[in-house]
Amino acid sequence: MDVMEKLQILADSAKYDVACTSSGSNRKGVAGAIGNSVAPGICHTFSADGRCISLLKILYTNHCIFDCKYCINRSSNDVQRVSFTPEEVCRLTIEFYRRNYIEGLFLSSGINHSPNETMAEIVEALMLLREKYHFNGYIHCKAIPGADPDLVELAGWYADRMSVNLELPTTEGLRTLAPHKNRKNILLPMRQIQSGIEENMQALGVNDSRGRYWYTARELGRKEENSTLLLREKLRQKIALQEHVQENIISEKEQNSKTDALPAVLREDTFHTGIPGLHMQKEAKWANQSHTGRFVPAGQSTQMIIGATGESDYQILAVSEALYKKFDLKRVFYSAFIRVNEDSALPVLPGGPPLKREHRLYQADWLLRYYGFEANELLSEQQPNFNEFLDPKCDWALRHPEQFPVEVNQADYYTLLRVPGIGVRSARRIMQARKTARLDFNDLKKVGVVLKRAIYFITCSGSSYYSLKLSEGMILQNLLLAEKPPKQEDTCFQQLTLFDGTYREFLQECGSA
Amino acid sequence: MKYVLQCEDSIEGIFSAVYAAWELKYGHENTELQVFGFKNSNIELFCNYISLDPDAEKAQKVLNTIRRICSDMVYEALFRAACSDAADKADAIYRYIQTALRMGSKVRNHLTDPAVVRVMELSRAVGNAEHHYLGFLRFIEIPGNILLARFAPKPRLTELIIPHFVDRFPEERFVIWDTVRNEAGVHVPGQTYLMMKLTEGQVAMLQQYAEDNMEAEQLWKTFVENISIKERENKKLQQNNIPLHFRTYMPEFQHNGLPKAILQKGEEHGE
Ligand code: SF4
Repeated sequence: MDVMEKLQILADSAKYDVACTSSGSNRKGVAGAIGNSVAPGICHTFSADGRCISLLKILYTNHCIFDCKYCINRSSNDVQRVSFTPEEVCRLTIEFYRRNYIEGLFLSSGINHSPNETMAEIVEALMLLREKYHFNGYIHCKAIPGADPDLVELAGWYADRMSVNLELPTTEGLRTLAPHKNRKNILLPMRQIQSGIEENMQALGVNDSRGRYWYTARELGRKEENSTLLLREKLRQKIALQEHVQENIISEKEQNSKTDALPAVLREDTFHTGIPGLHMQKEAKWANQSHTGRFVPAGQSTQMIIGATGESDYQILAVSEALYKKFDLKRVFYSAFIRVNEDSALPVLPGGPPLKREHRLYQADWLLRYYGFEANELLSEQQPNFNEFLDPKCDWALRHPEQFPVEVNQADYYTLLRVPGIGVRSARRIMQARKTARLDFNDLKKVGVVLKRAIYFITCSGSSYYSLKLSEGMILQNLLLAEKPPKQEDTCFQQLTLFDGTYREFLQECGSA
Repeated sequence: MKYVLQCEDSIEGIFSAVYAAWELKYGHENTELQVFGFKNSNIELFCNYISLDPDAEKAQKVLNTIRRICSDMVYEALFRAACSDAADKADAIYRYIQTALRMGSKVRNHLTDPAVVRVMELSRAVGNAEHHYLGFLRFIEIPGNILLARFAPKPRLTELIIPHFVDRFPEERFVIWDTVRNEAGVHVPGQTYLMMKLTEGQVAMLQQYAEDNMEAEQLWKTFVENISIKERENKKLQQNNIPLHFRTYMPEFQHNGLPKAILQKGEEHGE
């Protein structure tokens, strides 16, 4: 079968993975190689569903021994099965990259034969791409649940970002819809990657692979989880120990003569993957020689399917919050359930994929990461789901009249952020403009505040826009009039870019443009 | 009496006109800057029009002063604003510099000043276009293993985006060709880049290459088609994210067999 046909099948079956950002890594080009990486990420085109395309997103193979009920590639489906070869993956990536079609590669895969074998093939493709083709652009790859930690680690030295999909928010959901997967197998590699990133950052004395959630929590003076602190302490000890060992190491020459005597398979720098004929280097040459040796520098992400099982928005958001807190994820992606298989275990959703719900979850996710909201401020057992007609922040503001009005000439940054109509960008500009002038309502417009939302919640130098105090009901009515019907979320708009235009601001802010 | 200083639409033209405005001493309130070639500059009756030639040295003096007194960020904002396609850019830059000389690098915070807001708007619009083209620019491979990118940006962008590609493709020979202004940035391995104004002959030569000499474009189209989720189709969102004017040279938006112009019209009406 030719590459064109393979591409057709393996792009088609990769499309349900919604993560497609190329953000988080800043890497300069190097002579003799091809590629660089820009932290804010770059969109190269948009597909007919309006989503950004920035990576060549493909499965390595759609063969799969698992039978996840929601997945088109599940073992019980009768679909045409194909696999790329590592060379094919490399050539596609390079030819697309040279023409500026893409920022890099997103390699996922069905599970062919065994998790180890699949992970080994992914690693082989990445190794070839980095070391033979000298590709220095962005790579995102999957960690296959159940694969050997050594293989996962090796992948991490070649990739910019890794992800393990949580798939469903609860263990219960996983049991019914993905019988071959379990929480433990998913969280284990996630934890491994987290600790690898942490160790790498500590060794280099940097903080740049952390998620936005971490920064916001720090700015707000929140305490870190005990488990995270513990992990960090352990790593500190480990690094100290390594340094100690290195100081006392026997002369290099002696060591070399020892290893040369061993058969290749047992030598320290190669190891056996458990697959006949496949020996791999234990160390990723690429990361060690050409760069500062970064492990998953762009951090890790995950994805949950929304609406396939019965969880409430509150449950989902609480899971995301826990992932941000405990695993320091860069992003959690939400993917509205699409019924691709006829199966009695799958719900039939009358309105089609729950896009509106997905959109609200993305908004709330922003509120957690950038605005310093906590899940239980936005939702509760009593109010477990988001308001369909009002974005989560407006909804919160209406339920908390005691927090308002906010004086724009005095309030701190995170208080400003809680005002409907003020977003990350306009809050920053207010802080900036306040240094040289006192702001009035007109100035607020100039810095990009969405006044038709904000006026009910602010004062400028003590005076409010309306001389009457409006009732909550009145405000609600006015806000609803101001809110146009939510449009479908661009689920993978790039993280705040250098010149994030008003469009993105709007998405973050109240979501309907 | 009002004085209108008219200058060439270039970095040198605009900044040397700013220099001239100070030199000529007609008073800032009586002086306005305009760039040649923008239609909406109405000719006024009771006005002195003075046309100026670009002067690299004077422009450099102004830019150096800004660098010294303000910050690199202010410098970059002004540089981008000067690349804009807005008719009022020269005058906005002129007024901004007046404020900047008074306030130093704090000028950036002075968001209650109309000229500051305007320059910020212009520079942001240019910055946005620049960021878009980092992704939307397309290269085709032409004989000799050379990569050629054609694009038709509204603001003047070649010099702003080319450093990114020089860093990205250190081993490639490539040309980025602005088909509106017929200027090009050229890169050969091991060197930085060169900006050039294209002659008619060079343009004619480049024009014969419209297609990639490999099957990459076909593969790319296949990919873009198959990566979209049918159940989520949303052409309107797609169009918001990538407006039609960006699509001229993007293979995924060209359909085989029909001339481009007809197709683009069709698309506009069909959606
Ligand atoms: S593991 Fe499950 S989700 Fe992944 S390809 Fe196989 S069946 Fe699909």
